[in-house]
Amino acid sequence: MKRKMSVFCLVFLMAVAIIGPDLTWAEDPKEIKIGATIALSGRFKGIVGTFKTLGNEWAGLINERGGIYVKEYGKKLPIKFEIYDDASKPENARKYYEKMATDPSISFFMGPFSSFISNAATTVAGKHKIPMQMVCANDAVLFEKPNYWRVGVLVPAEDEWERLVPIYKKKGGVKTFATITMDTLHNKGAIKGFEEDLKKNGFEVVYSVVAPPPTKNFAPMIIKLRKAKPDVVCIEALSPAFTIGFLKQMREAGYKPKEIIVGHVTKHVIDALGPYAENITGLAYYYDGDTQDHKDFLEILRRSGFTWGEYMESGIRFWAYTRIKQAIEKAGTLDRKKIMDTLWNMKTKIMGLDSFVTPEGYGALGAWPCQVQGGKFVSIWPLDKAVKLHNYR
Amino acid sequence: MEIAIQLVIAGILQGGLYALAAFGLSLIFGVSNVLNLAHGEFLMLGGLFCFLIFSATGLNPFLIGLMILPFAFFLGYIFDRFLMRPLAGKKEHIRLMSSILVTLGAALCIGDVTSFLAGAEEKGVDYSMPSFFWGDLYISYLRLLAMVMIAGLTVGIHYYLKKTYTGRALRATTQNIRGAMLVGVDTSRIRSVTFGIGSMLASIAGVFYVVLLSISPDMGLTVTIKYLCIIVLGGLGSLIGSLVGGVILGLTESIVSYYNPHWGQTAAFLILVLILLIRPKGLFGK
Repeated sequence: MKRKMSVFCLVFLMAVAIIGPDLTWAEDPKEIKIGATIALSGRFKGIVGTFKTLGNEWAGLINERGGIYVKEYGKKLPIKFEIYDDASKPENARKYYEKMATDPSISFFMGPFSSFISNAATTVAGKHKIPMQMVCANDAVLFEKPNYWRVGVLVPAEDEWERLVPIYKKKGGVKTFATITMDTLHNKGAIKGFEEDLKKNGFEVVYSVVAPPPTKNFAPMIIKLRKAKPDVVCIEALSPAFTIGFLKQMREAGYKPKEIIVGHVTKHVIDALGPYAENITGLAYYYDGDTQDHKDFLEILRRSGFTWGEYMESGIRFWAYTRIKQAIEKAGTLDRKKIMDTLWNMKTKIMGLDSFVTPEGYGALGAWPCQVQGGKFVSIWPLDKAVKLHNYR
Repeated sequence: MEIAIQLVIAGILQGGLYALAAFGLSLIFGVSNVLNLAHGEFLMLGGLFCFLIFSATGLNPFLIGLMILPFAFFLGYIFDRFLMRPLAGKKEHIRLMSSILVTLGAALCIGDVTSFLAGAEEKGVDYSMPSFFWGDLYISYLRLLAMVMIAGLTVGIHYYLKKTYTGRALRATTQNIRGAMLVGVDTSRIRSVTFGIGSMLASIAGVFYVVLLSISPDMGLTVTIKYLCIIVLGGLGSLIGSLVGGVILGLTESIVSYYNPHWGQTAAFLILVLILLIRPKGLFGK
């Protein structure tokens, strides 16, 4: 009898040891953890380095309201970010996303800044089947290869400038355009779409040039620009150094176009140009409104200590945060597959506007015109407001 | 014809800016046989201090540039005193390798610390001077000022090296360090003074940089590599060489970029390779 009992105990212990880990009672999660990398150093720090604070302030605001309701657990769960510095390099982003993929408490990934770093990060999301809401990434290369585990928030780069053309069409006064583009996938994509739009609407592109990112001497381009005499000069560059260098040299050359458009205009660009920046038209991922989302966005900006104009991409972040929150609420679970399904199929409103994902994985967020007036960024949209508020130089 | 003249003017003026920055690097190499990879960081710091003081006071950036010169000298002096001097007694090839590693490490540290303390954003000073226009031609007075300054500095430093005791001691150290020591020259101090002067020159270039373009904490190594090419092209240690090297680079970039901006830098570096194949010591190297 004793021997039988011993054998039984031994078999029982072995069974527990083998299948025990699968039988442990799953505890309800205490929080919803979102993993991300941000360029807290390196060349993109100046554009997105403050977004760690922005994310934490957003989480703080949501947590003050109790967190995000997850039906499966019948309660609200607080949100927490786990953020690493990718130093603006894809290899670092890949390394940190791989590290986070081993942490089962991370339910969600948020993408890094730029398409080429996101390209590295999305492969990790796809490999480990972890949902990723991308942020500042909308180049075709990302969406050409199928990957179920990532969705974007932005419209394709080619459509980014589309809201500018109607202003010039309705307002009149300009006919010819010149484009100066920094040689990156994103910048070239955005300008390609804009030039096509211009031609479709009867405008003429009289000079178009693509220059490598480290360009410091713009004089040869400006000589050609002066010959072409465009009414509007458009600069599309991810690097503020490129934009500042070009505009300072255009000022030296005494060329005064009727309109200057800067695709990625930031506070640092207007600070470096001083009064010359007045009436520069730009694009931002925000326009004034009165929804609860607008109020929340402005509140987290206030807490973070900067404005939407100073960091244009902050609007994209807010859309991505909101989509994550809505996807979890709609899915009612932290199950990764169900969340990803929801992200693909969810049709919702953010800041009063439609938010959805296209079959390729692009989002619905575009950029809206803004202008530097009195040294500050002013939102100029919808169209009637834009035509009224917009000033030529 | 007008376009050709304008391209030449733009190229020479751009070259002047390059030469101004390469000047200090050449001087330091000439005296200490050290390739100072942190030179671009000194340039960046010059521009940064100019930006910070300009933002706080609104003073003329060139006046600020003059005000920060003693500080730049001090910075260069202590850089040599604490980082380079311990390497001075090593064998030449070890010293050269160690100095490259030490200055590279220092460059990365300065960049990171600056990014942490002053932010990583691009910084530019809003200051402009009217340009001179003649028909379709224009000359930027700001760039002309940089050109005049580099010409003045070349002459000034030439006389400083010829006529003053420190200058002669500096040349003696360059030519024969043991000989200089035998006749009582404090070669360690001379090296530190050279680093101080090099740092001052970088700081002046930084002021022009922040006024004409913009600066950021991570720009240092990129510009240092460009200036290294200029001093190699002109002849390591030759001051006139760095001036000519800068102008050749600026001219080539300007003319080729007119036809295709992507080939501007490539063509400039191809010329560097060609000149080095013909004259391995550079245009004015001995």
